[in-house]
Amino acid sequence: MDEIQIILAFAIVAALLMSSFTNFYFIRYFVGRFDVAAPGMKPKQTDDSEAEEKDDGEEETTSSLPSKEQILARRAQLVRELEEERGSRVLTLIHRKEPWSASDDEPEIVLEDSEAILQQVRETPSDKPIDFIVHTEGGLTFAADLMAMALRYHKAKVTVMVPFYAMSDGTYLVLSADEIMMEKCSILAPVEPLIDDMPANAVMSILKRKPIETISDRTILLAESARMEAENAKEFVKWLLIDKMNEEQATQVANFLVGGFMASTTPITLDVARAIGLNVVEGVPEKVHQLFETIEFTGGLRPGKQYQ
Amino acid sequence: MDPVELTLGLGLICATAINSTALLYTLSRLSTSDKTANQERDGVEGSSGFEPTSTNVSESPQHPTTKEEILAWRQRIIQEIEKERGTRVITMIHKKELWTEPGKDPEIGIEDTETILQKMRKVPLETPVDFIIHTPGGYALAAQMMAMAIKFHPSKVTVMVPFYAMSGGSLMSLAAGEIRMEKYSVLGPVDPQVPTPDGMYPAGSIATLVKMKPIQNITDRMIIMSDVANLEIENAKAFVIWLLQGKMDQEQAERVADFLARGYMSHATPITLDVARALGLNVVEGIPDKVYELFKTFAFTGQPYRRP
Repeated sequence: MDEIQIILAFAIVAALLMSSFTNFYFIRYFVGRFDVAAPGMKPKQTDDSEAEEKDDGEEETTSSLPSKEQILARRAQLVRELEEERGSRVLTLIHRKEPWSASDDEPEIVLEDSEAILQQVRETPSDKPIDFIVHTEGGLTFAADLMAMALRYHKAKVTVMVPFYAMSDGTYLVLSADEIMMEKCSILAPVEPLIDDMPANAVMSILKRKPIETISDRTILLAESARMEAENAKEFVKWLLIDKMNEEQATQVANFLVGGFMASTTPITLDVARAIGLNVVEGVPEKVHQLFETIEFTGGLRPGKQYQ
Repeated sequence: MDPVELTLGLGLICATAINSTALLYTLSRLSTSDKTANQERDGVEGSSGFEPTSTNVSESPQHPTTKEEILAWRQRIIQEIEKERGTRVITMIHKKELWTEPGKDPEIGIEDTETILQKMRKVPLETPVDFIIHTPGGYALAAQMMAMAIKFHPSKVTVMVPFYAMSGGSLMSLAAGEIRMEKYSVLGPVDPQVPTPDGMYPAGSIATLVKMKPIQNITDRMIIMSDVANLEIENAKAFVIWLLQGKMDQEQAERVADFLARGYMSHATPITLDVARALGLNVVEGIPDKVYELFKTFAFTGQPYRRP
């Protein structure tokens, strides 16, 4: 056993030890990166550099889901990209539970929405087209009316995009548009007013079906307000449509949507919307779907839901 | 043998062992991250980064305890089904999970719709879909939108019902080109349920009430709700007829729609394989074993079985 052999052997051991330490270093590096990047973030097409910077910033927090700020930043970026792509101003009215919203929180159209949207429409130059992304189950009719009016009065073209659904009062917003973009599976809904959670026309019909002396006072009062609300809704729909079709057709459409001929849950699909004379284009830009993917960052985390 | 040589030899072995352990650890962590990533984006990128033979993690964890482990296991089974059948597998499984908030019973909600619609949109048009449904039902409009997505998919959609798909789940099954069930798995009637101040009632029953009792003795609200009930039944029937178009002739479709949506039977009546076949639906007996293996991944919740 001479000295050279011993030195060589030591060298081999040292080299192996070094390589294992290097390995550990790599592992820690990769695991850290993957934990941040993998579960939530979708692969980005265009903006890798920016995303990477964000990831680096997040590395020391072990959270595997993107933070609220990251999600909102991603959304703002997608909206900017969509604006550039279409040369328009993009406004959104998206009512959706977020990872940070309370579990019993059901977002719907409220007056605050209309204030925000009215401000934004006002700030849009009158020659700039508006793309309005709607995703809502409805809410306060009055607030929806205000927004629909603002969109109707906007001079440049207004496109309303419905990637999934715009139900009840959301449908007013859709009717105010010059052009509607929806998918084959997207739906609109009738805009019959609800009186105390009952459809207006059903409330009115009780006056004809039951002897008046046996109807409670309250129901008679409700029937009166149902009549007025329905009239109001019909006139409003007619006014929204009057510059897009002739008066007779607008009256018919208003009657169809408000007249109580269908249950309030009847889906008004693309084909039906087209058949009643609305200007519908099939297909919503890819960027809009990407925008909605940012909602799915939570994956199966939402209570009680398991998706594959 | 020289003691120096012995020490060196031992050192060599130790170093090599550490080195290989580190490598194995890296591999396992990387493939777990990959699987989680695939889970989140529905394996759109395929299973490129996932090597089933790479390390010991490809074996089922005997007692998965964390959400990540369960989801990764589930994702692996889904990938195996996809490979076996050459399809895209989409699941809507409403079952309590380890991470389900206590007191919440999973059912069809509008969030399901958004997720499923996004997934269906990403399936290439020529790829057949296997849709695994396990649900007590829920929000009808949400189920209708998913049924539309199934009906609009140009390739074959197979709905698999390993245990039960009631109410809204049955509606989605009717949209499929093929239903796969076992002798003991059940579908259910799709008659609408109408909310009243004292709970949900089947639409058919409310419609009958108005016929049975003198009208002046019925409460105002029930009379109003009977209008709603009739419209809801009409809506449900029309929708079922549309779903069955192309699968049977019009007359038979109308009869099936009436049978399932008119409220002749209790909402919990099981529609078994034989009944579904007698109705003229394209039912195939037998569900791949792998699907049941998938359901084993739901068995770690410690939650009791719940009646639909």
